[in-house]
Amino acid sequence: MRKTHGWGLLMAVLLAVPALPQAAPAPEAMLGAALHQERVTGNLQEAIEGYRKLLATKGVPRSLAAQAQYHIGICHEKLGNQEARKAFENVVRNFPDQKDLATQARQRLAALDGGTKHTGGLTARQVATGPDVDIGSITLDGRLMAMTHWETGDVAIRDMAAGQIKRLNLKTSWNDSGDFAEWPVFSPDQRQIAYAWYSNKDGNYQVRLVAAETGAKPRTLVSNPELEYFQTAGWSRDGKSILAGIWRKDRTAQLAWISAGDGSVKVLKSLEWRSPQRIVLSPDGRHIAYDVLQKQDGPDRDIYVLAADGSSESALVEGPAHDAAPFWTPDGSRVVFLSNRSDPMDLWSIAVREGKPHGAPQFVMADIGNVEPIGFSRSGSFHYVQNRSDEDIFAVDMDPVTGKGRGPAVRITQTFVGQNQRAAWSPDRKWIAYHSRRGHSRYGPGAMSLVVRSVETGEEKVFPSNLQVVRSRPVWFHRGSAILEPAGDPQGNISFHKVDLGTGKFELLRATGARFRPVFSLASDDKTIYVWMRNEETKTGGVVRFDLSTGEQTRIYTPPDRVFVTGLSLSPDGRTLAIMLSVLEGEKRRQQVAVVGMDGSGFRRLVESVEALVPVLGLAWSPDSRYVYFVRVKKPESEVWRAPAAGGAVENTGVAAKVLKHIHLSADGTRLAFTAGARANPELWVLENVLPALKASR
Amino acid sequence: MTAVLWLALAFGARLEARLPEPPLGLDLYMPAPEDNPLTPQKVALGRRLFFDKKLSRDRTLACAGCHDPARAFSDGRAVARGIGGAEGKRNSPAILNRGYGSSFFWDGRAPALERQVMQPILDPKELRLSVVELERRTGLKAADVARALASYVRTIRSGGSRVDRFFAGRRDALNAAERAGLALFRGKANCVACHVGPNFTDERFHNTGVAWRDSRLADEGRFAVTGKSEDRGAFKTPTLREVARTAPYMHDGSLASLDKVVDFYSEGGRPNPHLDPEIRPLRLSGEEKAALVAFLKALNGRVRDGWR
Repeated sequence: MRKTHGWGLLMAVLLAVPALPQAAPAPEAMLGAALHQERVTGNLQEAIEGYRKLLATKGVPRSLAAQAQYHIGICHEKLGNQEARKAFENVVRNFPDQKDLATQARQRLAALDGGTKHTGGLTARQVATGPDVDIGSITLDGRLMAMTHWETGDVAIRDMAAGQIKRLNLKTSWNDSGDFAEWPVFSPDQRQIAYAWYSNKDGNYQVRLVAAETGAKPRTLVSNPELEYFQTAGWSRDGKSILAGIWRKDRTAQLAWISAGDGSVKVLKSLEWRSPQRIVLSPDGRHIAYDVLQKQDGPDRDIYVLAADGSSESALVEGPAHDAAPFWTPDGSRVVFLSNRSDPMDLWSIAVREGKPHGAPQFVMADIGNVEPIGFSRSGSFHYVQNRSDEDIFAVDMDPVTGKGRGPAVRITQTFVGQNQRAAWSPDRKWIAYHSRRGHSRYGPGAMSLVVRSVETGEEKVFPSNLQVVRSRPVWFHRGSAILEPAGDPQGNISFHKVDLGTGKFELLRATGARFRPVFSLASDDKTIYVWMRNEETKTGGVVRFDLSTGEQTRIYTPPDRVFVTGLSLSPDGRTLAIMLSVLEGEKRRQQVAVVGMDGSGFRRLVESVEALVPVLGLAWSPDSRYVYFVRVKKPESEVWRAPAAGGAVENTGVAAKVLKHIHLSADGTRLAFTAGARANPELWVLENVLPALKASR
Repeated sequence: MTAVLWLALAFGARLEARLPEPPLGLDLYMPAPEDNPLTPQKVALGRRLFFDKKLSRDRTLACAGCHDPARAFSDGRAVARGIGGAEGKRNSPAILNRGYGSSFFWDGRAPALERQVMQPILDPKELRLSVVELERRTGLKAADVARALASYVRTIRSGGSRVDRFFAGRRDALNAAERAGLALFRGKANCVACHVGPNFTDERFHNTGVAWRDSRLADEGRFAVTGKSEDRGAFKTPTLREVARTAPYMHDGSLASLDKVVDFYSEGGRPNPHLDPEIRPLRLSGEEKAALVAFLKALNGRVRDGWR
């Protein structure tokens, strides 16, 4: 098994490179630099050049040379180049002593044989795409899939052969309520569906049960404010109990059986903050496979098998690689899972006997990608969902006087396209910081990295961490040498971290011990933030002056009852806060943009809108503190407007884009950065002939 | 009953009996080594050995001497006392729900219960018996004594407290002050940073500053096991179950009451070069401290031991 490389180590290697300007770089540094190009910046051609230079260097240790040769193959494979084969053949021929790499190279060659990306007769075909595609649970006969219908939040059943979708009409549209279903799973007789249900009114999740028929009345099995979230994962064979993942109020996770009769909960195992991503019951109902974080503050997972009666447990796949998303084969003899052990995300499997691993993991298919598996049908078809996104960060020139956009918006970076969000200009506008999804996990600690890009040269510095980045942008300290990053701790409480851009070190500035959406602005003293904090116990909130150095809090503005602050931005002169408010009137909502003085006085409404405005990160100020910028949500393109802070007519800036959000205006008012684009329709895929491939791999 | 018969009962045919379901709040799954599965016979033998004073050199003390069921399997003293009144340097921990544990003793030096249970028997400051004498007196192999004692200790379980009932959905199980204490426990006081899960412990090691005296560490704690600098003065997080019954507190028994423990953490522990970053001044008000203590007292539940 090849150890995955730690980004911290990579960065350390990279940082060491400029310190040796006269000497030839050490081979380790050369490898680190090339890996950086491959994995961090995504520049594969540069990476290949780096690996070739390393191979041409005299005295390179064979272990490093083999890695370089192997990664040339990986890069070519990603680029779809035929040279991949030659590179892997070189590893097999020239580095037989590097056994792990030689084995992996052989597996890559096997994957390339057959003329397609898929191996051993495996074929993938797209079954459906559209807004009504989602992960769900598929029946063993492969006929039906229960899933969430995200157009409405309802439970739906997809007829896999006919492609038709039948909704259960638990709700008819988002206008009914903000409620929605998740993780629907069929009972063994396919007559009932258990699912998690978010009740917007109660503000919590429940476990419910409903007959698998349109119009059936659901029954609530579990509704307990102490239990915040559920993943309904399967049924006992007798149909009396539902297997579920439960997340408690302190965000710790548990595996449990829930009685389908009275909703009583029997906890099998507590997992602390090492949340499972997928929990799957074996076809004979005797074992549960699940993946958990290796560390609560890291992104990598391992897979375990627990006896369904809680009598024993075994580690199925443990090691430094990321192994996740387990699924049982229809005969229960193997578990198939995703793993990055041979670099990209591949499909692997492992034999299981009596709940224990039987032999080593076997390679099944190369580079399946970061998909969301659904599971097997009895025939051996493996279903999964592929998600794609065209969301990215853009910049547009602005006239600082008129506030109008000049010319078209351009994509800020060409690396990790579709994975970048929430950009912020440095005070001198020479750099732009943003979040980039660079980990193999879609969510959780380490999923997002901080990137700082030079506006002039395009040089990008990546600051990976295991922080659980929350939905806030990186905020520059006013000297421009550090960035303030809010993050969630395992309990969900918000903490603030300082990222030193010189050293790359993350320093915990303040743990708040409170959960809130970090809608905030940093004052010019670089230690005070203005933040919207809401106490979930008392259901009250307000804008608070929060001293990061002492933790002292002073409330400066309390909105009226049923009014919530959804956005906040401090004026450049430090005298005024722009706030976005959501006003609840019965079931309807109105949006407002307003300004308020730093002592909470002088509230002035600037915009009143029944149309949606972009909330968090949807406000910006002109450099002279005279205008407040905001975003109107429109289709097909949302628009950036501005309102005079003193009151008066609002103006359209002419900047518009599809699903535009996260605006940030440079300090000189000449450039506006924003996020735009959306998740593309998910695709439902089926991989055929998996069982023969598994047999062949034994 | 002869030792031979005990052996036959304890380690003979594998029985399929399963440990009865745990009290409310605990996991159904309890890890046990493959070579020491729980059986009623072994548990019964372990229970007998646990209370048997022949396991001490002068036949005056049993395991239960420091782990008294009437005190939630603790002893009420600041530090443990062995035969002849010899004082140890650490507090006798309440051995509750240790079957769910991953390392044992305040410094975690024993990786399994089977290893842990033998050390006090052989320790010159505790029961001071030799292996030879242990085997002679019990008629059992030392390894079998260890397996039986470990099996019994796995059955000592505490659960079913009012907090467990509250977590299970009984909203009236805690009063207003206790609910306020729970909110502090999870929020401002951030006790859940270490006291987490069904057993209210992360099974990890933290330096809270208790061992920092006169600008030095009076006890190096986990460091003595790992040699890692970050483990200096770090001790394992104890369970909070039955905590109101297990005073005095901390690894050295230096805090006499729960009020004093809460005061200690409210002040931010005792600053020292290796203080855990999660320990910081909380500045709790008197009302908040009282609420927190009220919540901790609600963790008293039912303690069961043996195959029942």
